[in-house]
Amino acid sequence: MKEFVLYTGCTTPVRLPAYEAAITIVLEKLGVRLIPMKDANCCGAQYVESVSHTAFAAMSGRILAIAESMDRDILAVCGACSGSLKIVKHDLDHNPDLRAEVNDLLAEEGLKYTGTVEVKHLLQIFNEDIGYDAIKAAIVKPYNGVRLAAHYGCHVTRPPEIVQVDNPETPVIIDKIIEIAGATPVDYTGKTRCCGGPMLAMDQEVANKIGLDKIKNIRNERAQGIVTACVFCDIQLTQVQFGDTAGSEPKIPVLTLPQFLGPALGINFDKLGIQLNKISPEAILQVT
Amino acid sequence: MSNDGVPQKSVVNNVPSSDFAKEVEKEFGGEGIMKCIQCGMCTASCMVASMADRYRPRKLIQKILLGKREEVLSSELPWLCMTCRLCEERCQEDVNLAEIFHAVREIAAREGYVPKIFQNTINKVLEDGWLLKDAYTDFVEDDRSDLGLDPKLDWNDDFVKKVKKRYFNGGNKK
Amino acid sequence: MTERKAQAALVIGGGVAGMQAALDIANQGFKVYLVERTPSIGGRMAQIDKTFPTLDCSACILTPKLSEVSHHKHINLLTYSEVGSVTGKSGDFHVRIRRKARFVKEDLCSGCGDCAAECPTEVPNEFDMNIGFRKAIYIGFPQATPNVYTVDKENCINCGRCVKACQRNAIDMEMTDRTLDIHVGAIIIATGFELFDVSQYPRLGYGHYPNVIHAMEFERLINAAGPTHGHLVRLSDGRKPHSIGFVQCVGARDVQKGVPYCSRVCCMYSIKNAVMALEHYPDAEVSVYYADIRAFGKGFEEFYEMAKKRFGVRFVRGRVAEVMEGKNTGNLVVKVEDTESSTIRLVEHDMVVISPGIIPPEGMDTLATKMGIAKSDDGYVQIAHSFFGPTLTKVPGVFVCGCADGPKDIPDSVSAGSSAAMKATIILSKGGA
Repeated sequence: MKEFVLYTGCTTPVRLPAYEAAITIVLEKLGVRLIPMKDANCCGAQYVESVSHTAFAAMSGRILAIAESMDRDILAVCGACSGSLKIVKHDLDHNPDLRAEVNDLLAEEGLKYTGTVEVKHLLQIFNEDIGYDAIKAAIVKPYNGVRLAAHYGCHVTRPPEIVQVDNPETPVIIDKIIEIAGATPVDYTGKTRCCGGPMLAMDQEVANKIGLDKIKNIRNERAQGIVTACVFCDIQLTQVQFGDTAGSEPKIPVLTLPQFLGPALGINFDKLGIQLNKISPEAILQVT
Repeated sequence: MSNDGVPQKSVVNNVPSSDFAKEVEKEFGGEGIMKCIQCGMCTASCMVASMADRYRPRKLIQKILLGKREEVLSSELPWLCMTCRLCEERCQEDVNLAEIFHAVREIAAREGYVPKIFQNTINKVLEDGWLLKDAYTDFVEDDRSDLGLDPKLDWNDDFVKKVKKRYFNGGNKK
Repeated sequence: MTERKAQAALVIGGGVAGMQAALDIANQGFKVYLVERTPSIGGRMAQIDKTFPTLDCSACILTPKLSEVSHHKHINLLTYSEVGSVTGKSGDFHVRIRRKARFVKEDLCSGCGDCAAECPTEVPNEFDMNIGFRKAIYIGFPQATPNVYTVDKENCINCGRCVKACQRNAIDMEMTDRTLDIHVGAIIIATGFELFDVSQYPRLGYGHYPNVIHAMEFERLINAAGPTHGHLVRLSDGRKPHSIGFVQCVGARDVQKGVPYCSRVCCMYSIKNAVMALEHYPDAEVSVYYADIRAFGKGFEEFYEMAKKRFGVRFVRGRVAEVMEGKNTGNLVVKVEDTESSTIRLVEHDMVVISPGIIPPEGMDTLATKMGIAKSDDGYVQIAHSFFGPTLTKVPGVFVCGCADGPKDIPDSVSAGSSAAMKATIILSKGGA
């Protein structure tokens, strides 16, 4: 069984524990075991990242070093964490001074970053480590053509030269998995646009407008649900539909990718935390 | 010119200078700023610009190129970028705007210009080691147990103290 | 005994530059082999409707040249042929030409078209940018030179109806490729250009939205000999467009797509296309979205002013970020920042024309290796010196003209053709030295 160390980031364990549970159980079923990372810290995305590049490198660098000490590659399930860890890895690999600085700080704990660890986002595990054939073979209860819109997330797919997850302009991994599981992937205007999540700090109104614009474009294609690959996007696309400016249209359920795939693999809803989803996806989880 | 011979008081809006752009260029991530030809591809792609009239990434770059240092550093505009990188994907001159704005933020932070929300969040993370300690309620703990997940979240808060000591002076950037 | 140097020249490429070079050499009394890989000479100019800045009818000024070349006693026209191998040196090149089988005998075919009338197979016509159709036995365009049909063996179903229809027994389905070995003193490369594949910009919708087309498709639509007989219509529903947007700098001035250079001709051809759109539909709204307008040549700035003042073309300074489609109407929405007012605009058009940059043609790498010539970073043939040798390559005896060494418009290509011809005949007149 392939093993990865799971780095959840700050948000998933608290705001979307269902995502954590679903990933663990779905990947286990597909032959990938996840070992939780102990004694971790925040990756430093967005906030520390903005004010001190070195401090940011230190924070993400420590995560990389812990994985190295566990002799396992990292699986990041939050887009922002995935982006941070990959970018910091790139910076540390190409910048000996920065690496020396960070290692100096890590040495006190007996940790060291030498560059042997790889960082993968969830989509890479499906595409590269498990493979579409294995996923197809594991489908026991296919969907019945339900129309679903994939939302990849900005930090998952960009900048492509560094993160190397999927084609940023025409990403396919989530859409392929949707198709393999028997549902219908739906394209929509602005598919690669941001969900608005990062804007919540500075201007919530603008963040909501951006999120609702995405929901509107998805609704225009008569999609019955949204499948996400980043905890932040999932929370944002859910909560914008509850705001004052959301309108009165029926809410579109938002599902994380493992919660979508799980039922098709024969996994029980409650093991995937479906009951915790704010907008119930039960109507679309009609597996045969 | 006035008619009665009294000299008019002239108002200088900005003395153009490349100094600020050169300063940004030297900062990590700011390297490509001089390549901008002000074509507007970034602004046309930007979702923040679409939804907020006050933000135009092209104009922000222009202000840097024109040398409006004080205005840019004290403004909230560099902090409005979501780092979604749609602009970077499309820029035909290969200008990495999100990186440049991060470089500007770093300079701004050194001079004490950090928006409150950023500063508060930074303080929190440097204190707790992670961001959502206060949000981890009993309800969430129960949810985790029900899902078979470890209710104990094992976050390290020592390392961030070292980070704070080394790179931040009393919470503010050194 | 002194070795007699070759008294002939080889021109590779039958576009306007290659034809000019061939004519200039032949008119001095030297023999020229003009090799063209498609079934007819004429090149891009044959596909264009009107030229800038004069709005001349392209075919009208080109066809007399086609005729002159085909009738010239010193020009050996070898169409549907390619250069195989090249050995030797200046004054003494040995070139093997591969003559592809067209399955129609050139000396017997009269171009009557009886065969095509009988042919049951229709395939997209490359000359019409795949908008119109041709038969499996075909002639690219009415003035194709030589006026000889060609069988597209890949799509031919071997029904034999054309063979029966041909009254001159000109069709020979057993024909094979032949080789021809020639001895020449100088070689001129005039291989022209290709359009950048704009489907590499998914955000602009080319290939997904039928009403997003590119400039050469636009040329074929407005051309009277084109697939719609010169009616500018939308490809989704055949209706006439009321509002057209032209998108500039696509596949040119783009560091990320490997084409950092300016393509030189796109600003002018787009202004010309915008004017032509209004000539067809004076009530239409036409906008051009640009980063810079490069109207550098003689008459160009005046043409640009005329487009603005007399025709009312709207020029918007802003590169287009996205083209979105309205589901039911097939209409398109262009997302752009009008940088002069800092306003983000969503402009509806019923047709969007992307102006592709031009790039070296397919097969350039192979040809360059064969000839031992250097290529510059952008893939074009490298010239010896931009002041003193703009048509010289770094290999003595091998010259270049037209767009083979970089983007050029028609007048510059023709000048270069004459210049290369002169360089070639200097060698030939000295007996090859």
